[in-house]
Amino acid sequence: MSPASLRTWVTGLGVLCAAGRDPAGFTGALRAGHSGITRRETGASDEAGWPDRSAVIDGFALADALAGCEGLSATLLDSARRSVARSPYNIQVATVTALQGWLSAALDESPAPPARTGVVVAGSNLNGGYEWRQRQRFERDPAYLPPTFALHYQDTDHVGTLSQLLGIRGEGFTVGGASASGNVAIIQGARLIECGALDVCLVVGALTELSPMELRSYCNLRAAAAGDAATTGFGAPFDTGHRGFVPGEGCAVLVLESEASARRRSAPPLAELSGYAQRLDANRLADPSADGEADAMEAAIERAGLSPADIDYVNAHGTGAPLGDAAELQALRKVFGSRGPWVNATKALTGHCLSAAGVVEAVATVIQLRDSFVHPTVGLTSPVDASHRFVGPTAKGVPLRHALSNSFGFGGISTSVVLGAAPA
Amino acid sequence: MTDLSQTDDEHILTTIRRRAAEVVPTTGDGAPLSADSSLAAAGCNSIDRAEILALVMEDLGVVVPLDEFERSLTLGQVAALMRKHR
Repeated sequence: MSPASLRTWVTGLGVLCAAGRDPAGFTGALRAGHSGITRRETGASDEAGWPDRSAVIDGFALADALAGCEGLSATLLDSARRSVARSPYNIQVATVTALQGWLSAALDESPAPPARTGVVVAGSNLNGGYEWRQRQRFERDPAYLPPTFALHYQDTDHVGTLSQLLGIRGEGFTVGGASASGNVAIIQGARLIECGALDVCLVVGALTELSPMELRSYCNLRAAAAGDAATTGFGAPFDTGHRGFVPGEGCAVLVLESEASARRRSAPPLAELSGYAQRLDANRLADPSADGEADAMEAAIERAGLSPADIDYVNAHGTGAPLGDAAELQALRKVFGSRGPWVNATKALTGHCLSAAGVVEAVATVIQLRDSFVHPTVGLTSPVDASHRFVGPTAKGVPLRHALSNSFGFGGISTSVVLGAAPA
Repeated sequence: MTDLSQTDDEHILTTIRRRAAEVVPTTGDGAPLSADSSLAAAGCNSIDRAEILALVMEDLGVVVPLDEFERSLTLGQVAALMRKHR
């Protein structure tokens, strides 16, 4: 266990995804097992090559989303609307989500020093969809390319936009770890706080807006589930019918804060970030390694000063890709033996939010720790390995003290974070 | 897209005003921008101005070389440039 002066707390949450537009809505969806995955109209001539399901944020409108941020001052609302009215979709979504986190941590009412506040954005190559649309203008004539493309195509547009809106003047940057980006950002945010560089760090799991090319590459790689689920079956993560991941849109924010700063601001902890680890497999490809994943889990648990028996619940990476699911179950068995902690997969409700996934799932984990339940893995009726303690189709109320959240990415990147129930 | 040969100055000015109000909503406050007012004076910074001009060029289907745009151009002068390069 870290000394008290080095403890990192979670003091705020934000989330905007297909399964919920804010933390309260997301909590309801997790409890009830309401999945945001819906049928996707492809309209393509080769429909079988494209996913027929996705988890999208349906009908997002900036003004409505901002109006829904409870407690937002008219000044901040106006400032947000003006600064991102013409920004790409994922910047608008990040703005709303960041404001949720900011308000949830009471950083508006009880501010932290701007130079001691930072922002770490999870994800690289976030803007494929935006670039794809602008390319059509460029092809008409390069002169028609909007000059603001130079700002918006860069992932760091998130850092600039959020720091301007929230008056953040400490450190800020983006980090990439493929689908493990979310956890990589949480780890870097925690380190900034532990080393004394920051008191408060906004960790933002940014929405990846895929271009059609990027989406299709996941299908051609057989990582995403393509084709008609009505004929091929649709399997949840860890279900015998799993065929690949369902693309998901989502953004989430975790406000990390040193215990000392939270106490100064009288901000109550929602959870404690007690451990984390990242491991590389020395492998550039997409094939997962159970050993690398198990090493990351064990190192994270050890850093938290815990043993595997202390972990009550695992929020699995669980994408629904058969190879990935199998490797993760093998790793879980290695770390916990059989009938270990509860295991579920938030991607059954949110789809795979790619760069944001780790933060979306950390938010889901904090909510479950706070409210003492484990959410259903919607659609998991026939587990590939029944020796694990999967949460099936309905939520279970269980007291939780310590939870592990996994995120793994292409290129042999394995990450795990340990979150603990809010300290008394 | 509009065929410039069928447009007049007022159409070009309307296009510039519409795009300016999209990029910098406050330019639409009060009286509409006149042909004698400049985008800079209306509160558009250099990035705003470049964005507005790219949008207007696309709307009108013309390409004006970048070095012909100056900071202090009035709306009327911008319209004249658009006409010149149709």
